[in-house]
Amino acid sequence: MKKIILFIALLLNSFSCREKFNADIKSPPTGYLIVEGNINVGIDAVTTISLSYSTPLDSAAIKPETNATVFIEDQSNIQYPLRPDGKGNYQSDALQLSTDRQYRVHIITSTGNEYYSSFTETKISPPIDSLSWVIINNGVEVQVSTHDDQNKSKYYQWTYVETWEYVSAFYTVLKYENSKLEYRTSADPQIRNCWNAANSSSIIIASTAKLQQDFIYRKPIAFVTFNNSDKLVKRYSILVNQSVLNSEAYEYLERMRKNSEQLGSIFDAQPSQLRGNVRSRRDSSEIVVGYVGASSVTQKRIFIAREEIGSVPIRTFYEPCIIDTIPNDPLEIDQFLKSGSNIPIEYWAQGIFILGVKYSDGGCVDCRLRGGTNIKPSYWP
Amino acid sequence: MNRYFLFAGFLCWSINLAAQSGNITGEYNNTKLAEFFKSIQSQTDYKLYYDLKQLDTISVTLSAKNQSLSSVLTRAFTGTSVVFSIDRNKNVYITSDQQVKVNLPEDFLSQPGRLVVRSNVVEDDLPEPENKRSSALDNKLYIIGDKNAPVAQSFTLAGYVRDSKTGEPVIGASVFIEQSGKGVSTDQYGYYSLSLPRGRYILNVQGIGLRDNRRQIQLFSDGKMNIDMQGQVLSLKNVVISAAKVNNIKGTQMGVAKLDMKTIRQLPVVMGEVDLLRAVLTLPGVKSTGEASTGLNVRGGSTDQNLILFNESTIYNPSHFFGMFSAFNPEMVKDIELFKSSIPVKYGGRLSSVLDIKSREGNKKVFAGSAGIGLLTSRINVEGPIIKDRTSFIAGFRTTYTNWLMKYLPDEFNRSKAGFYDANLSITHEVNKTTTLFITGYLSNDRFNLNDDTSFGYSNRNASLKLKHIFNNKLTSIISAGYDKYAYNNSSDNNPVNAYKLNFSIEQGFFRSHNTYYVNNAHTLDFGINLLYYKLQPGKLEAASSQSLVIPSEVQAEQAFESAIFLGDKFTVTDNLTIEGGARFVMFNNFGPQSVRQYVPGLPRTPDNLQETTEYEKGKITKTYAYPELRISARYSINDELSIKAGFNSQRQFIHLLTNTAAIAPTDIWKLSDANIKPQSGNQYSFGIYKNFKSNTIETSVEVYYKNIRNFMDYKSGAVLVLNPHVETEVINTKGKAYGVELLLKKQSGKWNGWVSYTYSRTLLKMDDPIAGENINDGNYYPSIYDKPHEITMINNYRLSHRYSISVNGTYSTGRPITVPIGLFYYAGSYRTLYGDRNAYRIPDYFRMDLAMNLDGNHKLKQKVHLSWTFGVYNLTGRKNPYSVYYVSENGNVTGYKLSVFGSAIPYVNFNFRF
Repeated sequence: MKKIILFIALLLNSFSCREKFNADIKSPPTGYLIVEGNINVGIDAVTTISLSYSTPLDSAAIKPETNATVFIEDQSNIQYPLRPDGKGNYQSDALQLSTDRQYRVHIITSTGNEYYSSFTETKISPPIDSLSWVIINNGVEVQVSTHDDQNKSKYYQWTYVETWEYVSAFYTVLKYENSKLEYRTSADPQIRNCWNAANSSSIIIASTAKLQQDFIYRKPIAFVTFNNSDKLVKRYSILVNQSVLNSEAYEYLERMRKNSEQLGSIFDAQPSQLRGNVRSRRDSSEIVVGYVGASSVTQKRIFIAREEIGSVPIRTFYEPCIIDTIPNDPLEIDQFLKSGSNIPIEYWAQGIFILGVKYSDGGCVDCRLRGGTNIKPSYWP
Repeated sequence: MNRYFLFAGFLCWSINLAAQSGNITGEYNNTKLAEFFKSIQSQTDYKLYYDLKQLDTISVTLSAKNQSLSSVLTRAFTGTSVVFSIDRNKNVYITSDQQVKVNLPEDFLSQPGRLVVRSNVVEDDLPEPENKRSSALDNKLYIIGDKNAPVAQSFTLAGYVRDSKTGEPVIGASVFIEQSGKGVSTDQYGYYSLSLPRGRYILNVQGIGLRDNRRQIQLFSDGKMNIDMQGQVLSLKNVVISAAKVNNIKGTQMGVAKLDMKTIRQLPVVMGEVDLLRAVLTLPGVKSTGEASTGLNVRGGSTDQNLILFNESTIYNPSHFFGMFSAFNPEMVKDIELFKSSIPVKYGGRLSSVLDIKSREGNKKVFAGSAGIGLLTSRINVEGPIIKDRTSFIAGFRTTYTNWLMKYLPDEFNRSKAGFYDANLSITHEVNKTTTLFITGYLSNDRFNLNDDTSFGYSNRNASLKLKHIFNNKLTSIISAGYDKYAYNNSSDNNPVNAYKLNFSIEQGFFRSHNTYYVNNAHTLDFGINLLYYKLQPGKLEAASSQSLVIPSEVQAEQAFESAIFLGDKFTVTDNLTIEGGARFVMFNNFGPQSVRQYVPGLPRTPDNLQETTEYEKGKITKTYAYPELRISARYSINDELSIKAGFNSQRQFIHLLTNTAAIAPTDIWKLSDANIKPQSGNQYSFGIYKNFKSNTIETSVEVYYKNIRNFMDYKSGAVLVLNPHVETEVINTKGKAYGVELLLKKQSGKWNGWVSYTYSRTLLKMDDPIAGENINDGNYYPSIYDKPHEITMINNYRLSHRYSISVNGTYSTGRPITVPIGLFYYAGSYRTLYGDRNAYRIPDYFRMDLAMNLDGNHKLKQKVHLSWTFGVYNLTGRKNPYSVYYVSENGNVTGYKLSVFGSAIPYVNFNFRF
């Protein structure tokens, strides 16, 4: 159904158009509390709860709540404290919360307001059967399949962490340090291969409530393009976390998703207000965004190497890189390389004569300048 | 001059008088003219020329003693329409109305050059034989009734007005007595009935696009008079009704708008498709949520509150292409009438309006047809007699070839296919002089295939049978029966595990009886019954393949019976004051098999508060609602060009569209009232002033209305409506109020014609249903999504010549309300929007100009094929009118967008031919 609506919208969009638009809307000065997280149950499970406040439309900067006190509580009032990281995240120790009990979060904000989530049924996530991928529409779509023989899970949520390896345009054997051109040694960090990572940024949920069996088959969860990302240039990995929701949480997230990720087509439902399961102790009508459920989490990781994709062109973003040469004149070399924005690559020699130094823009040589780290993750093959 | 020769032909009986003295003596007491003339002939040598057919009703009472012929005749004919003239040769020409000129004009011989010219002067500009006949008919005296019938206070004269060329009825033509100005308009079958005392009258029949007709009648008792009118050749079958010129002053109804196909065709349109519903949208008081929707919001009503009747059939989804085009073939439609205020008592079941679309009747004389080719659709229709002058048919078919549009889609969708068609058939059979049978069928079908794996289709199927019988001049009865069906089916096998089929259908069978009884000049009664049986399949989900794991689910079918009896009286109190009052009594029975859920009284209606479920067997009534409805309107005319009107209307509605989108979405379903869903009700009060200028060619009006709506259905946030077995838990009963003022300035005829309208209107909703569990905007009044306070529409048609015309339209309205985010938050890896009060903000105002040019081929009558072209530009200024404004989380940021459905000027071309 959604596809049809999407289709019609696109059809209309073929002779319609959309433009950026900013309405002059006055936002409330103080934000509403936003609570995000899931109580992870099971063996050595770490729970992370993030707290922040809503901001006016025009200021897209997270306003974290850094000084709150956060606990996980069970029905017999046993409290497990969560530690703040100073950025608005609160993390528990590795706990052994039972799937037979019910839990909630208890928050006391820096201004002294108290909030509780409701106790919800604790869910057990079945293992992820498989992660698969296909090439469609100039990219790779990653799909998840899972099932629950007991037909108890029904509502699923996935989040993921993508990690990918990429390679800068040129390998360098030289470095320019303290106004001296030297060969790199094993003590120098390698700057050719880097790893970057990103978290999922959309709400990925699915329901099997209308199916005879609790069976998710090849549900698309991520899409990586060949043209607009460098994630597939060398090796790509995705770690998928699967948790199980109750129906209320599912509906809540579905509504949030519709409100914020919908296409803006003519058949979209009107946006709706959100009421999660976190309430202020003082004023239960206060708007608090977030639904804190409790579930175990199951994980699965796959790797996709460049060779597996085949011969399709994949953009590396290093395409514009070129190598230039500086004459072998210390003054000129210093002038070009001093600022560090250019990096030497190798000597330009003819026979035994060094005629100059080959160099390129730093971004073409040092992969770290594209945002990644040059430290290989432990799980990387 | 021709006319005089013509006259001479009718002076068929001449008497050779004996040559005697010149003077006359005699006593005549109520003497018949024939006798009177014989007496004259015996006394004089004058030759008398006369036509007894014209004169036989006149009798003479006088006494003469040796008086001259001219003084005797003058006395004899004083007070009658008879005139006479005597020439030098003692010939006497006795005629009715027109005196025979016996002398040539004085300058006749002094200017010999003009002789030729004079003798060629043609008074009728169309010298076809038919015209001669028609002129002859104008002059003939018709004797109606039995001369020997007992004298009564008044008699009724009734009959049909038809187009002489096609035999189609002329609707709304005005039939009036020239002397007194008393008149009526013909009804939708071209039928009229007048009540008159015995006597001699000139009956005038007028309709724009038709030549004016006069009939001289002598009424003795009740009788019939059918009138064939000739169309003005240029306008072919497009009949514009002159009655409309005076209707706005003389009619009692308010808020009635009629559009004929000629007007509709002149309006510039999207992609060149002549579109009935978009034409209706140009009328004051009619709005839609935006360009992608043909759903009508009439005076603050929702889109499901309009009863759309095509002939007698109810059309549940009047659009193709998911709302882009209306589902009526323009070639088949005669005219459309929208009742938005005074709804006639024979209609019921919807709160806001009745849109009555009538198809044409087939040509009863000759076979004819037309066809058209446009950018998106092609259409053809044929019509003709089955039995000449008695039975005719008209059939039309329209289909699309929109697949070329698909190549503009992104790669992932360009293997898609879209198509629609509609087909119409109407048969009219005159069983005998008093009984006519109408059979109509309508079928529309839409289908989308999304990349071979997902398809969506919907269709309307309607058939009806109507019998009209005239018992006598006073009583006319119409009974009709029929079957209507609207269904959609939707399937997908994109993912084998989730492959599904989803079906929805609504079926209804109806029987209606409507009788009109002309009691006398003061009273006309309308009475009858409406019976309606509904059967709804609210949703059925099935697995579409053997691998599919979809659980078949089916929401229990609903069935109900809606019945109504009605009685209305049009009471002409004085010539100036007319009151139309009516009452309907409606009863709605929802019956089993059905499970009726009862909720804990006073608690929010949620699945958790379900108390018990009662099972009702087949045929057992689960809930009955019964209400009286009142319809009153009155008109007081201050003079011929100025009147005031007031009205009150109450309505109930038992079937509701479940939708929480702005446009009518392809998956919207209907729901019947039941134990948990109360019928919607509405009352409307209206008042209007109507003033015409320049002999009714310029119409102006001001109408004011106030409306309140109860049990309007709105939904909880994120309500699930499809396949929900307990929809009542998602519904919030809402109160609504709507008010507004509509100003209209209209010029109907002339080289330049068109209208300008301005509407100020508000539609406000309020949710304070204690059992809803949640209330939108804290239970305060908030604007509905189609609340657009200011709206100005301008329609201009300018006829450059008989073959070229140009139309320019302009529309401005306030932007519709939307719900916008009041803040941002970060959740699940992305900035997201936090929405505030519903409909608290408005999208930018709407403005659009359209241009169309109509080019007709030459107008030679005898030509086999008539061609015409239409060129136009929709949204001439290319303004990007926003349909909606929305905020999306994209790559972790929130961006606001405005979406325009038509973001540029869209040119089109359309080609039509008739044969």
